[in-house]
Amino acid sequence: MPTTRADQHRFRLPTLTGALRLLPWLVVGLLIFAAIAAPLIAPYDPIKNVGSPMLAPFSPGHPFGTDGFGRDQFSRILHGLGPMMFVSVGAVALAVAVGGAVGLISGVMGGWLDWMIMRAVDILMSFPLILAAILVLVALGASTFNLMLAVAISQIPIFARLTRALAAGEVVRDYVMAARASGFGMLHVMVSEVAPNILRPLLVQATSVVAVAALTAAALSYLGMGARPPEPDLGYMVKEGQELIFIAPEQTILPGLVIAIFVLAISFCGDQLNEREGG
Amino acid sequence: MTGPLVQIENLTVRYPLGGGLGARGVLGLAPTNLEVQRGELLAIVGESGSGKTTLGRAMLRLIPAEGAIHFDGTEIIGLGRRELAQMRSRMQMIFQDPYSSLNPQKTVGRTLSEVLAHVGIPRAERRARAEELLSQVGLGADAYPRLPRAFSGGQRQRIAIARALATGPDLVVADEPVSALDVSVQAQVVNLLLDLKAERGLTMVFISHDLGLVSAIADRIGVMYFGRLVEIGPAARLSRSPAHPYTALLNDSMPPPSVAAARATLEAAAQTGAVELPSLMDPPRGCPFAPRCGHASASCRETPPALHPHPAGGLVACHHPLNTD
Amino acid sequence: MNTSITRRQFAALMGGTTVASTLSLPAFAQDGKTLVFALPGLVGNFEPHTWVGFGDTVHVMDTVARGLTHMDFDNPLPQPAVAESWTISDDGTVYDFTIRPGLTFHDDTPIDAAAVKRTFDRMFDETDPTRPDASFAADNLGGANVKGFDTPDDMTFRIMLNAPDAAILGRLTRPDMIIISPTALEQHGKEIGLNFVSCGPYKISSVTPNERAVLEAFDNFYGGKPAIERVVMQVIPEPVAQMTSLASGDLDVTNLIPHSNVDRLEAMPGIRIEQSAAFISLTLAMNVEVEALSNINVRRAVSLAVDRQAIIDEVFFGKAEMPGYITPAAEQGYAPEHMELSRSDTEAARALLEEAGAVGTELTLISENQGFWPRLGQVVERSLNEAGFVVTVEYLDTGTFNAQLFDKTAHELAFVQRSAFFPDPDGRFSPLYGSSTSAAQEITAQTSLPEQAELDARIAAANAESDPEARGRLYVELNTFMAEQMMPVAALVNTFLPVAVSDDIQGVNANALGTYRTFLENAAPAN
Ligand SMILES: Nc1ncnc2c1ncn2[C@@H]1O[C@H](COP(=O)(O)OP(=O)(O)O)[C@@H](O)[C@H]1O
Ligand SMILES: [Mg+2]
Repeated sequence: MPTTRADQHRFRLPTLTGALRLLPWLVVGLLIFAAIAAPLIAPYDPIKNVGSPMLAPFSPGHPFGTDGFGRDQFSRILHGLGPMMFVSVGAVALAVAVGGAVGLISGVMGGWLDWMIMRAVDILMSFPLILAAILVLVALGASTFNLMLAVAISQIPIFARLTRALAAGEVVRDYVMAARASGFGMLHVMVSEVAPNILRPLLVQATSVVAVAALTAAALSYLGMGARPPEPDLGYMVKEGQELIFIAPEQTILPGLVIAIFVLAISFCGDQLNEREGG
Repeated sequence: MTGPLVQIENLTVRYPLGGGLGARGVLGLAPTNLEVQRGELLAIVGESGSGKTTLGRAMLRLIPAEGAIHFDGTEIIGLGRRELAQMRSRMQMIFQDPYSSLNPQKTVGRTLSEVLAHVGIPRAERRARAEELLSQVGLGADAYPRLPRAFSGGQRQRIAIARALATGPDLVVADEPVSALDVSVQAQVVNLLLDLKAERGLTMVFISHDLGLVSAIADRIGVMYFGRLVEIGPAARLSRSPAHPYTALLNDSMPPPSVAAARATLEAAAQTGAVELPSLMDPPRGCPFAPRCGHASASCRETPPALHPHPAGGLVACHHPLNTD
Repeated sequence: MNTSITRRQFAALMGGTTVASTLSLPAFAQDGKTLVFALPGLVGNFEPHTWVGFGDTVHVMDTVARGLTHMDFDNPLPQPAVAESWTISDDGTVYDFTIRPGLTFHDDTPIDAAAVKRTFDRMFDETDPTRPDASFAADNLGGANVKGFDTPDDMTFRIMLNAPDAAILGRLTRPDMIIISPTALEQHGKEIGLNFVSCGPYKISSVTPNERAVLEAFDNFYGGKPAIERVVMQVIPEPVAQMTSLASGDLDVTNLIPHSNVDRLEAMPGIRIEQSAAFISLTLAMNVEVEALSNINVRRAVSLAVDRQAIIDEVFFGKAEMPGYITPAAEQGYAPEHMELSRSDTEAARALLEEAGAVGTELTLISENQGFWPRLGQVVERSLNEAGFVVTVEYLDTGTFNAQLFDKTAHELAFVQRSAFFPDPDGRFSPLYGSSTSAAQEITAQTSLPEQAELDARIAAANAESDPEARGRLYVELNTFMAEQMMPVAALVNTFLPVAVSDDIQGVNANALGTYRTFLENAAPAN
């Protein structure tokens, strides 16, 4: 499988063996469950001042203490999981859809169209991911949905290039020529012949990129370009807490840790899928 | 209807070299003239790399080509997308490798019924037609819901044949249809093709590197070397008294030498300065076979020979043809 | 963390996150002769008559330049500086300044009345080839009220006004009213900002934009050569990096640390927090042309709904005080009874809203998205919503925020911060609430209120009164009038920039630093 930029930037994870292989799946499963069930299991409203002192220490009532506004930190982190997953998974899904369509056209049609699309993609990829996303957010304004869009847009070139490489590898195979010999048009070739054959490797790669997307999103939230306060957003919580690092370091460390755990677990899952795909 | 089913004029294929726009090309097929008569079985033989597949695909306009192709009187290189799509059902191809010519994600039934749908068979009839096709190629109806990976190479080639027949073609180009198969099933598949040809009155271009096989089944044989048609004529004449020294070489050395072996010999010769290597990217000026030819003269190295009628029948491109008496 | 942690340990703890910013510090600190000061940014252009950059205009300018008068923030009245004394005509329209004899600029050009006039002419003469584009200094001196300048003799500079303006002595202490060397102006013209020469306690030795400015003590400063020979103004924009540098001894003075960390830093040996007066006032401006805010009772409800104690606790971590109305307690014009004008009372707010039939009124509040603003936004949003409003806060980058702030069609509620470059009571009113200002026209749109005419008259009358005591009383009434009759802004809290100083240094002017002024001439090594 061709390497994407996301690949090159990725730190090589050790390979898990035995029962440990289940661990990342469990962690991701647990986080997804927590994200979905947050409204039910969070003890407090994440944006309400719960009347406790600000920056209260860990206690049974407030397992992660309270933040600088006296809001329950545990509830905020639980409620922050959903947006994180929406942004990272949604962005990758969108990027796979759009980048996939562009890459498919490029790889199947070939010729000057391919050449032009790929040069455009090269130009987009010469922007750092995060800069591309920042430009989009400056244009659209900060919100969770726009953050998802921005991260998606920054990932589109990666998937365009990956899909193009996969599609170009399929299009020279005889079954594609056979379909054309049967009289089918290019649309049929793309959608019915090539696409089903590149979907699996594409989805495997997408899983790994979810981790990159989550990090990009966290970085942008940290810059104040994600959810509008007081909506709980893990990246922004890291930022809010950072100023307090000398007096209440857990304010920045806890949300940071949750982001790290999600990213790491997703990366391990992606690696396992990659192995199975023989990549 | 009279005249040849297919008549090609100066058909030329250039493969782009490398990527990008405006790249140079290699000559996959030198300008070639050829006719395929209605109902005949025309075999194309030549070593691997001699341009047989290129000719076959270009003839069906599956790869970009220059020149002219008259299919049943209609010139198809100049045709627009829509008109070409109309013609497609009349000419079909069977590919060399049945492992790559079937979409691994599609069941046999889906592959066939998509084609049937495309040629306008109503939905209600498609399944029955598909099963009928399967039975015609010697497979049971139980093949219908299965994916290609459930089948052996020979069975897959039968599925590919069924797919080709599904459009109801007049012309079938079979590109080395058995060379990827087990020797044990090769004969069955060839026989199947011959039976279907006879039953349906098909015109068939049968591409092979095996002159021995094709001389037994073909009406006419064309011989390709280095992207050119070097000899064409009645099958019996070519195998009995070849006119081109290259045809004679094919006749003598069965199976023909592999390209690698031939190149190794040539390279060894080139080291000693005895011969020069022909290259598609930089074609020799004269006859491309001259470096390997025992009969080559100075004029062979200067002037490329054109196809000329041979006294014993057919055409040959050689300055010093054999068996002229 | 325990409180006896040392500065070095503290720095080591934080080192990981801030190495990059501390590495670029030269080994200047702690030799007793150098003071390192943190800048939020540095463009490297010290053109005084237009806004260039925060570090340039606010911090470096005050250290390297001086004007006719000086505000030392100990005494509420302006003090002599380049002018050693002045006289005011009986009608209050002619000011004669006697230039201190024997002074020179940093380039040895003598300072006389002609040199001073050269600088002031540059503010007003639009044909002056050395004048920068978008020069706003003239407005800051008094605009059309300034009739002209004169030099009755070599060492007397005269300012003539159309109408009396008691604030003029205070205005002359602004960083854009400093005197520029005429020789340098002649030589560099419009480029003066890049080759800046004035007569402050320190002179510019070297400037690296976005990195640092190195300043050397000036022998011929009117107050005598400063005790500390060199001031390094080092760009350290990140608060966490500043705290680390402070802890490691690489930084001596800063007024940029977040309020949340004041107690923590104070507990550390080697660092102290200097107490400064709360000159920075924060207000919630209400656009009275917005339908929902056109009713004064709704505006009163907004003011009542703001939970000021929560702002003090959650936004400023206790480092802020309850406001009066416009004038902070540290300035003339304040009276304790003003606190009642900015009472917080959720129940009363709700009652007013119900009476106005305005429960559920939707309002958008614009806020900057950095510093303490997002914290303030969250507390204000919460407390207004508790009283029955439905508030959405938009957090904007500074550029977008300012653009929307000065456009009455682009905001409903907005935060406005006002610090005092000089604590004159007029400075709280005429630049923000006078009819002719873009603030009154665009931020609150209060120029459309019928009471504005009376407000303008009261502002003019107060500023025409040169007797300090009578003047003070007029401003006390002005606060009450504007709150009771108009209420275009709700006062939130008054605060100050926490000033953190190394124990190696003494004599830093904390009151000035607490409100964005940087006077370091009295700083000295501690023994
Ligand atoms: N897609 C292609 N691009 C470039 N060169 C090609 C391509 N396909 C075939 N060729 C070259 O064209 C020549 C003829 O190939 P082909 O028609 O496949 O020969 P054959 O079918 O007789 O083995 C060979 O030299 C081959 O390398
Ligand atoms: Mg071939």
